[in-house]
Amino acid sequence: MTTMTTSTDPTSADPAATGSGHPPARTRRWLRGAVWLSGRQERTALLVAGGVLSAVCAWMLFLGLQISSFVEAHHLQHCNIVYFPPECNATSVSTVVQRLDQSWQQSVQTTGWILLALPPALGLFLGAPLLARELETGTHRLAWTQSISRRRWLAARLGVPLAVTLAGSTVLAVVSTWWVHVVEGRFAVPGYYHWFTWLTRTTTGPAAVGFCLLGVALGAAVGLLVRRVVASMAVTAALTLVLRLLVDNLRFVLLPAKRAAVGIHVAAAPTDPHVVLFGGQINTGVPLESYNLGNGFLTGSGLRIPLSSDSIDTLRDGTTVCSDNPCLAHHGEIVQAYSDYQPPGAEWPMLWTETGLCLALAAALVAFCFLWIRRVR
Amino acid sequence: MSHQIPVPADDAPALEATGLGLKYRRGWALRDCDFRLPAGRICGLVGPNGAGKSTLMALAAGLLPPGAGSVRVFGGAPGSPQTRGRVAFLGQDKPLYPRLTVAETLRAGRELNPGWDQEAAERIVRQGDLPMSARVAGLTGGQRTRVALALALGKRPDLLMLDEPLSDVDPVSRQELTGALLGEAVENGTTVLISSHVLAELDGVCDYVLVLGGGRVRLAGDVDELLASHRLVVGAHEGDGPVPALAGHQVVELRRTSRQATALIRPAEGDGIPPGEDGWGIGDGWDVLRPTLEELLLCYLRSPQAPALLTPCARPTPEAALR
Amino acid sequence: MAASVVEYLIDRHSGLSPYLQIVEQTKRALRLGVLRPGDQLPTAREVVEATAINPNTVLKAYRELEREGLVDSRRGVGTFVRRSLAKPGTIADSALHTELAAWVRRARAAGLDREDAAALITTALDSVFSEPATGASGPDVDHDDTTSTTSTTSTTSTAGTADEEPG
Repeated sequence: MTTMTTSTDPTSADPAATGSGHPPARTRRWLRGAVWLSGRQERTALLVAGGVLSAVCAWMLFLGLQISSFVEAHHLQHCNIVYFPPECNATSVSTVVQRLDQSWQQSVQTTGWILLALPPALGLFLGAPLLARELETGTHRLAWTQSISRRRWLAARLGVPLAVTLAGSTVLAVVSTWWVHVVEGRFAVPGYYHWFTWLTRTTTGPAAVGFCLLGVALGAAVGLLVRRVVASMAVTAALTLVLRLLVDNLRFVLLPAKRAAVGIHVAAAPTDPHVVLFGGQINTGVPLESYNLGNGFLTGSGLRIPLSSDSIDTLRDGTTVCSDNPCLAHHGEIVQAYSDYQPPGAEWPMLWTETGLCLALAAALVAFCFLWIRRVR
Repeated sequence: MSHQIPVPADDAPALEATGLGLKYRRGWALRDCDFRLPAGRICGLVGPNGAGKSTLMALAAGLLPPGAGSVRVFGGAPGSPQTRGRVAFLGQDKPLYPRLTVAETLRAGRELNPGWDQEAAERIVRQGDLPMSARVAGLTGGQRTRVALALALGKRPDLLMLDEPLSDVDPVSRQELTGALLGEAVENGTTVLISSHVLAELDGVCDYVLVLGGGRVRLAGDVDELLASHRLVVGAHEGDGPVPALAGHQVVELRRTSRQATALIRPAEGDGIPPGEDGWGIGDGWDVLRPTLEELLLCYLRSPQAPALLTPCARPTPEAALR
Repeated sequence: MAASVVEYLIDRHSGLSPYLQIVEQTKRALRLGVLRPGDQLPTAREVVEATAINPNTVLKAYRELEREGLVDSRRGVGTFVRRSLAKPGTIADSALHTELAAWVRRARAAGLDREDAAALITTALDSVFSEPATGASGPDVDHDDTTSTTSTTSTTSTAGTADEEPG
């Protein structure tokens, strides 16, 4: 065993050589701490999401401008293919409208599907892996043994993607609102006939923002519970579908409906069926482009007798014929026919209601994450 | 450079557990654990697989809530704002963000820790010839360990807990990393709790040991005190009957061949060294040897039925139980 | 601050505690004159980084050396050699060494192997050092900087290394 050797340690002798000279001024002040880390972790996902979003917006602008210039060039502004107003009934106009439909129908339909799929896709690919990947690979333990609290970490972890989603989906909302306005009622695409059809209503205006934020929050919450990336994505997909249907149906219920009513005479079915005119319709004077929520009869005492459809059978004198038991039981007392509906003007209040629902759900999910994080091991 | 280990201002022990327990679905991972680790020590945490070593560290790191009793880190609750910045924990799986580069990983440490020491962290990385621009996902196990260790040391903790830290590191880096680790520790007065299966690795490194077995504390305390209060005796003995020469001593482990018996003994009562000093009053014809740390630990690991032993400095203070 | 001149080599399997190894190696360096008064011992950090032994062991060894009056610990500066243990005649090239080397050669020629020779020396050491000391002083030898073990960092340039130096 020898004792003596020379000992000159270059690293201890020269602190400048260790290269700790990071210019702190270069650090952008708003990107610090856990926020920086969260942004760095989600950088790829956010860039991909941003790219997809930009592409979709560019596509909508491109297609929308083409369609609207065609519409203007051929003066088709008022030609709705569902109602076909009289001035559009000329053969020449009809041919042009058909050309419009033939040229772009497929693209419009595809675009509609993409718009519909964007918020769930965000939930699946941005939301679900957000916390699930940390828990699956154990990196949450790395973060939680640094000097910051779990909740501050979670705030950054959720805050960064949610903020970016908010910004991105706002852009999307603006472009898609314009887009829906361009294509609505012009194409034989189911879902784009009216303002209240499903493609239109879930991709217009603030609803796009609401569904995108809900998607991310839902994915994150599911990831926190399920702790596995792939499983979280599957559960998120299923729950997104359920929530969408739920919110979609709730929005018509949450906003008070309007009721239109007309006086009516009702009689029991006559013994001779040949005197009955089948296939009439209740006409309660509901405005055009309204969303019908239900029809029926009202008795003098205010009793409501709903009908399964708005088609009725009448006698030649206009008397309505009862066709089911509830009606027969009360036919002597019925004084009015009614329709419950949402007028076209309800579109934006409804969109806001729907968005509110989405945001409330998203907020509840985020709150759940903050409560649950304390119990995670 | 100071040669006095700077002990943190408050003299609370680095770790103190009273009645500490945690139950998983399959049973108790840790039960009725009482021990104390004074600040400034380098403590080896030893035990067979499933003894509760990782659980103990996770509890002290605030990653798990205790199921029973309590554990205190410098007098505070693990994971509380006062202790978060003072404790660094490197888990067995050494989690790192795979998509970050080495430099970004260190930046993460800087962003998340107010007391970050970039120079110390970079020193560890550079000694391993690791390019700062390398992606963590592309590193070997040993390189990943180095980055994880750099992250833990850059935090400048007062208590550094390492769970099987060097299991996938080559022998040269192992020696160098242990040296670097201890160098940082001596500079900052860091208390180190390090678990390892390689007992020889702990010899000379640790001045304190904590042995767990079956979720309970088997042995805890100052290495010198523990070595002084045990003797390895070897002598001729035939048959399976009791060994008369060992009467009056607590036998930790007794192994026999047909003609010979080897035993690790300690005083029957208390922890004092018996008056006989070196001979310990064992009869003639017996070799009485001081055990090495490795021998001592092996004997305790091999004989789970031996009663637990805590040296005075390893016993929690009565006040700790009241907190 | 002077650069440290010694480096400790710790043998974990020698049976000697690392603490004693540091004390012994320091004393040997003092005896051989490699460490001289005013020299700085490596910092605890340097020792620990190089040897991966417990820092408290190093500090304990330094405290022991300080207790024996061999070194001075100056807070925040380092540990410095206070007095030398070097005695004239203990240097490797001394007359005693020459005599002993001659004896070893004879022993080898007589067919003794290394262990046999070492055992003989140990026996002789045991018997001689158990007698009371006779107060003999060391023989007068010339003081040469060249030691067979190593060189110091800073100023010493030895004949053996001079032509290897660049420039």
